[in-house]
Amino acid sequence: MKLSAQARDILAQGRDALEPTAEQRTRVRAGIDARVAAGGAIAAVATLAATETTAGASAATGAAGVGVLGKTIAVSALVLATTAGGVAYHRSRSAQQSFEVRRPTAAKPAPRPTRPHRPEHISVPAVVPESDAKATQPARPAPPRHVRRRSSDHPATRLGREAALLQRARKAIDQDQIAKAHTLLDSYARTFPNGQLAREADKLRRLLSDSQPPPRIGKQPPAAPR
Amino acid sequence: MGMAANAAATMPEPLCFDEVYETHLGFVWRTLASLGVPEADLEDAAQEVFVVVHRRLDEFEGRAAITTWLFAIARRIASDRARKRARRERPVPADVADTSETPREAAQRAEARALLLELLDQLDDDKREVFVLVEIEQLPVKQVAGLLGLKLNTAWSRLRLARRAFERQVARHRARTRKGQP
Repeated sequence: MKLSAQARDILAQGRDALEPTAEQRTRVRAGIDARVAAGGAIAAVATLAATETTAGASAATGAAGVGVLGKTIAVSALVLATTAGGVAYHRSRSAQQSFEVRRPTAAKPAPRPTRPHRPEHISVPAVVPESDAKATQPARPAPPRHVRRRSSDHPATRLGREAALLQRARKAIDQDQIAKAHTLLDSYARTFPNGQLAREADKLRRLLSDSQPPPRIGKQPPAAPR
Repeated sequence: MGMAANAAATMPEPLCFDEVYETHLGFVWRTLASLGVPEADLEDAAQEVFVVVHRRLDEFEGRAAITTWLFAIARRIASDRARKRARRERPVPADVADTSETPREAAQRAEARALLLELLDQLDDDKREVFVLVEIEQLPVKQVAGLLGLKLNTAWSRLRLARRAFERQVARHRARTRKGQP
């Protein structure tokens, strides 16, 4: 069966009418560029986070340098503290009788960590009975406080969490889940008020406001029957 | 040496995104519109398609025609959007004024587009896809069958039924317009 002339005519005219105009082409292209740029920024951040959380992958971009430096310092401090603790333990084992003498801070209570959520591995009782000295091992050098903090406070992990949250928001935007994207971006703003990816979050928010449908106000027209 | 030259000759050239965009935006646009994406959502949907293309262009192996690949992406996005629209009916905002055409041209264009989409809307989705690809995109039925994963006979059958249904709609439209005339 072939189509009638009128049907063919409708199809031909409709086909021409369905072509995008020059302005539509320009707008679509601009939108693609914006989306790709926003996606690229998030991808770069995700790469950075992955680089930082994976030891040894330090050959990242220049932007990654600061984070890697922070990680290096933290790892060095950790190694130093562990070594110092080990030395202290070794000395306490080898000269148990004079342990108290070699520990000048024993008479004075060590300051407790100011933050309540930090582990109390640094705190030392004011007076340690000699019999308990074995059990309480690395008491001598108080390691720097930032070395053993919670993993969630680690900058690399924090950056990773920021990136993960923004990636979820971006995915929600891609999938047209406007409300979810809003919730995620709000959650980002609450959780990371001075986040390192605040600019990326702003970009996503702008992208979201561009792609957001107009608010439903008043009575809506009924759905058109198919 | 000769084999290497042959292999190089048979290797498809890597595609350039700009070229794909310029050449195939019309195809993607018409496909999205024909598959029921409303005019107000077309730009957004087309952007989505080409963002996917941008991301995946390196993975495109060139085994099938690029239109096949583009159609698959456009079809998925159109169907996602249709599902979302069914969940929340969205008011259609007015078209952004296009200054590149006169008001008369714009009106004629809008009328032709609306008529075609209204007629297409009466077809079932499966027939509509075949009909759009053959009658609007002018693709051969064999390619359409491959593109939609249909047997050739099934594609022909759907096309025949779609043409019949389309003709019925055209006749109804003709009758309506005659009745409307003085």
